[in-house]
Amino acid sequence: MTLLHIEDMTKNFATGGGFLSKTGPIVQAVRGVSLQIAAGETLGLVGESGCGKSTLGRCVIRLIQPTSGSIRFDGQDVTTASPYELRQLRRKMQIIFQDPYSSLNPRQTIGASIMEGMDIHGIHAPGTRRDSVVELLEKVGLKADHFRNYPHEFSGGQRQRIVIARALAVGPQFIVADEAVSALDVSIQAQILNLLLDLQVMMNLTYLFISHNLHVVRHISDRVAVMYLGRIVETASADDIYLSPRHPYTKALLSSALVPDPQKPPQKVSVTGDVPSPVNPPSGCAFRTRCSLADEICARVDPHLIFQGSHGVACHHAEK
Amino acid sequence: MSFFTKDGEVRALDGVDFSIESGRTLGLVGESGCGKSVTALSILRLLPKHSGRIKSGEIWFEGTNLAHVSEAEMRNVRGKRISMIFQDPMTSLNPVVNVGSQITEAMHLHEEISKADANARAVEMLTLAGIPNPGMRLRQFPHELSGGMRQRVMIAMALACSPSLLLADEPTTALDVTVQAQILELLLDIQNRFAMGVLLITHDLGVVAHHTQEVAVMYGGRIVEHASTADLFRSPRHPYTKGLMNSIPVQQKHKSRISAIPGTVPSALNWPSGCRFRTRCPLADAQCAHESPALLPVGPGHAAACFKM
Repeated sequence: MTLLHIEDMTKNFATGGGFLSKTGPIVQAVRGVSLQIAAGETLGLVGESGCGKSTLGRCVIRLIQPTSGSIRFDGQDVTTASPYELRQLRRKMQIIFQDPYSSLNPRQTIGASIMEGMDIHGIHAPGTRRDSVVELLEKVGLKADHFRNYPHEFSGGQRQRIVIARALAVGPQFIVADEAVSALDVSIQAQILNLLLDLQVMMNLTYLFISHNLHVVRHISDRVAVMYLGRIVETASADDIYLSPRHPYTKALLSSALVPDPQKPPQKVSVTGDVPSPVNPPSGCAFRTRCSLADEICARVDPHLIFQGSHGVACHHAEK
Repeated sequence: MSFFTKDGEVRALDGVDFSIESGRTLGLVGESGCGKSVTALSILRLLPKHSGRIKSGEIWFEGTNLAHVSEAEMRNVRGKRISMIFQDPMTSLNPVVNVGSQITEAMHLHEEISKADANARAVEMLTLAGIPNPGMRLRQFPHELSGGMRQRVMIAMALACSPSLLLADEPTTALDVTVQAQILELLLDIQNRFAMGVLLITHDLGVVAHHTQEVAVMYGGRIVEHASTADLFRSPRHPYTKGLMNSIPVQQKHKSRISAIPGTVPSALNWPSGCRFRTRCPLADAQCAHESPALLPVGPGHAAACFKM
């Protein structure tokens, strides 16, 4: 069953401007993205900085308002929900950010942080909320007596556990994990990935897992979507993306990711230069300025995602 | 090497021992707080004046013990014979000085060189660092460049006086993967051309596997394993090295649990007694709590510090 349905979503940001001054050029952060996530599934969203993956994640739970397009969660339209409906929706959709240092209030005990959502949404009887918090703390691998501690008393990995407990406090079905393990050391990253996998099975959660780390995305995701300059350029099952990538950008990403094994040398780098500015993306296919296959059609026509089964690619030369 | 803080002495490095040959790359890997950056700062004596101190040990570089030379002599080494590139190119470049002046600064400091010659060499360095249209870039400011371009400028700056040793502290960590690949390629190319020794500090085992010949693994301010890169990945001996390799979700079955190292890195203010890894180690026993394991040979060119191998 499809839990989240994104249809032709676009988000533009105006730059510059201010009181009495003209607004500057428009940044097209997300350009006509359509995606579906089934209940209980993990969709991995990969791409480099500035590709729009975080903007997409924030639009999905309407932390920011998309410019156009529709987002339906469990049959309900998120983009047009009233403030009351939105609050009900937020019980079901939560987000975990990259930086566990800035996403916790330093003056609030972690028990209070986790309980706040329950108070706001009136979950559990007031007298039993404390017990539920303790239960959550234990579920994410912390101890009951951590309840009274403040965020500065915890390490980065522990703080990310706290943030996960807080997201789970309102009993969500869907979690956006925006670079949730990127700031952590590898040994701690592995612990948090294990926790996310365990919780998914335990609580039947659906994840939108946003990351730039290809190894991590492959490990945790059922399906993967690759983003470049505001567009999805390829989407398929995790194995298909990694074993038979078809978009030249996906191929370049995969060959740039270094496997920790000296016996498996990386392929020669097949892209040059940096990602162009989203203020002024290239005409036609956005990747053409760095692509070795680009020709004149790529400059004129922006390719659409064409599906073969469940594997979609947006490239004029995907078969080469 | 120790830091003296209001909470007491922090023994950031404890008996760290390694050498780098010209033309070769030594990778220094470990997680945050293990002392890998402090190692590089100690070599260049860039530690904070009042709180940081090298308590004992020697740093031999081209026949001189850097631990004992005067500050004035040290200034002749920094940026000239030994250069450093840092992780974050945005905070390491001066935002109000144009790129050209930043690159030529070291040349004017260390050499008698005319402005025109310095500029010509800066253009040469930028070209070497793979920056298109270098003449125009000289007049630009850091904010006008992308992250990858800034890191290339940092590299051009570091190479301005053709150093014989380059300390690269997480040089590609802040960059996107496609740009990271280009920068690593560039470093390799430059190293081969100048027969430069490189200390590559990173937490990324993927980078280590393909861009170093030798690796030292650090944990808790100590080197716990030291081997050729091929040996280390083929047969890691220290339980920490093994744990680190198993933590990376590459070979594991899709959506399976990763065999993570339990617990967190202990604080440098309060290292565990004996072996510092013992609190997270599956093999630890009483001996590990009492004695500190020495880095001993376990094979040709391969050493590890563990009682339980």
